[in-house]
Amino acid sequence: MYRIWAVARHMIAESIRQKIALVGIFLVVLMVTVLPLVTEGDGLTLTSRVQSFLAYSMGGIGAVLSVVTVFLSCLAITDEIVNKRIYTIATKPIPLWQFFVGKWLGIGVLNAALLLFCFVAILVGTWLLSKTQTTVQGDQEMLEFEVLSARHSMQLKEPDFGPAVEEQIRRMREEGRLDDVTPGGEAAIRDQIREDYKRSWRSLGPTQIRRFEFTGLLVDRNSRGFLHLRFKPTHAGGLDDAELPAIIQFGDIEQPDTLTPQIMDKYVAERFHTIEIPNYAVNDRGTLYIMIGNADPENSYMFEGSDSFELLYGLGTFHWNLFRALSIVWCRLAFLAAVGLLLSSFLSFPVACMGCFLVLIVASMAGFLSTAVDWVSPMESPGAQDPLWIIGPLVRPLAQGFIWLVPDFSKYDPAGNIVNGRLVPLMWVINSLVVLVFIKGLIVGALGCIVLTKRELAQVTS
Amino acid sequence: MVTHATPVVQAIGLTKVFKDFWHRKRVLAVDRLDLDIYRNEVFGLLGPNGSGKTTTIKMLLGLLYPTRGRISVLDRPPTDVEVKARIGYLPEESYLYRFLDARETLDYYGRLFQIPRQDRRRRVEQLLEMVGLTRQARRRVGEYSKGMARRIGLAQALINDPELLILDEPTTGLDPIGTREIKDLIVHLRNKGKTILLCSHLLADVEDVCQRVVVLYGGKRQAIGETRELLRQQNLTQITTERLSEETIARIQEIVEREAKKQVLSITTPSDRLESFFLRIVREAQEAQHETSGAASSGQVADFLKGDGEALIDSLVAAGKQAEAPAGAAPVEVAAAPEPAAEVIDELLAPRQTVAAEEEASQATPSATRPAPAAPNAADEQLDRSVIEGLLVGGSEPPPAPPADSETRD
Repeated sequence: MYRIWAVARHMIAESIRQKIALVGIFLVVLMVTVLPLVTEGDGLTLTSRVQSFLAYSMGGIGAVLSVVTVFLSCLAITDEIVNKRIYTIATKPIPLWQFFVGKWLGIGVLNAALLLFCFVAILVGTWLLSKTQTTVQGDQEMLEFEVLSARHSMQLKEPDFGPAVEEQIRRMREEGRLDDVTPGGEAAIRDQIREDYKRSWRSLGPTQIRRFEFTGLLVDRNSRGFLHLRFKPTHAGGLDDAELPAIIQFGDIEQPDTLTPQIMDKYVAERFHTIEIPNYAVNDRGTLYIMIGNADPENSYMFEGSDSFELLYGLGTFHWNLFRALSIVWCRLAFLAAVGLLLSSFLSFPVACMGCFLVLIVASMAGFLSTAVDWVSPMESPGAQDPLWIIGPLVRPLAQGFIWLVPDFSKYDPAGNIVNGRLVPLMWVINSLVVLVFIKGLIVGALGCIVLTKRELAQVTS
Repeated sequence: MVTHATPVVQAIGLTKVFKDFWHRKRVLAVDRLDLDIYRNEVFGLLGPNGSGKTTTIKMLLGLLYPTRGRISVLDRPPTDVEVKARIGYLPEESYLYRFLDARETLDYYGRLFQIPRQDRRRRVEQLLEMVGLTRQARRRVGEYSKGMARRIGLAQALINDPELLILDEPTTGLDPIGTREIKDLIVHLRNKGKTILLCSHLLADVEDVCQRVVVLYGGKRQAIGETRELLRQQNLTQITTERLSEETIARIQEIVEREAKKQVLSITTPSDRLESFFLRIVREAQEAQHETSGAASSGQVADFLKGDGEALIDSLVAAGKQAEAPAGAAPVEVAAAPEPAAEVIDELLAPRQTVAAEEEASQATPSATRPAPAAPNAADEQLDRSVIEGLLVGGSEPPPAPPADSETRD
């Protein structure tokens, strides 16, 4: 560990004195100081202005530090080899895997320091922005609640659609409509039916009333706090500005002291609305019931998507939320550093950089690539031709392995949570650490160590 | 004479073929090289450019892998981390971190050897003093001249007090003073029981310090053996005397031609060597304390490279000098007057070398020891003096047996 730390310290000093890290710091400072001045949001509310600032700064920091990490990691070993300093290192009693780990640790510590700096800078920028005067009524409160908070999101408890789906499938089979369908095709039909049932359940026809429930709430119903229902209705006819009348009541009919007064209001379609719910509305079993009635005698509306109807409650502070979000960013950078070091152990600096940026692009659009690889998979029906012809069996496993190894960075992007004041759960941070650092990062790092240990470090001179 | 000494470095049938991307044979850099380097000797690796010297060294260090053949360094494979803890290496150019200063550079390498902090700091300061860079220790290495970079490169090779020191062109870029100091250092380290592998184009350097040499050409061994034996001109005799008159020279010439039936080939008046002249001039300038932005060596070997006993004696000598100094003399003046490295080392070591050699001989096992050939120059003089003294007293111990020829060991 002593030698690893010596290399890490040296890596940090090298990064700072070679100005690469300083360029990163400069860009971050520039971004955080300039952004509060130039971001306008919707040009009306302070809330959207702060949200814009957070969105740009989170995205900008991720991009700048990714570029810095790519350059640092790709330069870390290639520079030692090209300038032959590796001769004096490899002849010292440090195993080359420790040298590799030391380099990675150095970049990791440097990234942590830069992210800590970003953390402070974002907090200061947000605080300064939030103190700006606003003319919109309730804007300040909305900012505090919707942005400068860490709200946990609960999803609706869905009924079990399984029996109904199976019944439907049974009827279709009896009618002979599934005779020519493959097992895979039947599964797709089953999913489609389930999706239809779900959509139907999340819809309210004219004058229809439905009871939704959220379970497992750890809320002290005797406290004076509030929960928040956040929802976005969609007009069945696709009218974006339609005002949709609704009657809403919270509470359990079987436990009268949980019932709240009925709320009658109109809600604009395709916009998010938030309603405060007193804690006492949650029953003794930790369940919150919500009765919604569609007061429109002609039109239907629905709640599409999981985030169009959710329960939010505060579960932490903004700064700790931001800290956790930046921790996830660090995990992404740690993986990227391992990739850069692996590539720099056998490629030249420009080629390693290109490779590393390719991995970054793949990671950023892993979902799309995964779909693309699935698309070029051979059809399951017998006799179907492989879209990749004879190279398919060779190329496909490589592509699938590559896509498996390169994580989907969109799953590790907490910027949206920060912008919307959503909690970044600790489990997400732990998951990022395990997957990006201890599994995928370790695999990539181990490959790098093997390559560096096995290769000849000197070059032809005669 | 056949001995059973264990070589510190052994190469058997060492071959290195460089191949291109398509694995086509491109260069045969080293071809079936057999090599033994023994403990406590300075071994020279000679050859023209492209003869395979540096490739051989890189294989000895584990930076390149042999295509065929076997290498052992300190009885282990060269890639062994334990081996690396016991060797020092100065590459053909000083590949240093340009953004670090000299002190940070040495500290970094010291950390890689896991040298404890206090000891590391002490060694760094002593090495900086030894290579004359104490005043430049805060400057970034990237700003150093080639000679200064060479000095810091040498210092990093010595940070661990290595058993085996591999020096690739150590005097390249150095001024004559630096060259002289490095040669003195090599002799000193050899006297302390170290083994040194020296690779150099400067044949005079090799001749001055190496006891055995190997000459490579085209990756093959062309010659190997004792330096003196290889250079000795068996068919010539040289007599050096004080200045003679023309008549005396004519008489000697006549005697040689008449008595020995030999022809006198040349009679010359030897001139001072430019190196000696240069060293004297610079020493005078140093004594006058002229300012310089370059390296300013103290000429002293770092204490940790001397061993405890010698360091103690040094401190006693220094204390004695201070006591002898006139009452009004400032201590700074005593310290500021640099002395040439050779004189310092010779003065300090001469009375103790025998003791050190005896101690080493008594501690070493028979299989691990080998009569070390005496170093040329200063060591030669000692040998010569002991022969003369032995003849004068008529019953002294004979001088040590000449070292075995490596060819016979093979």
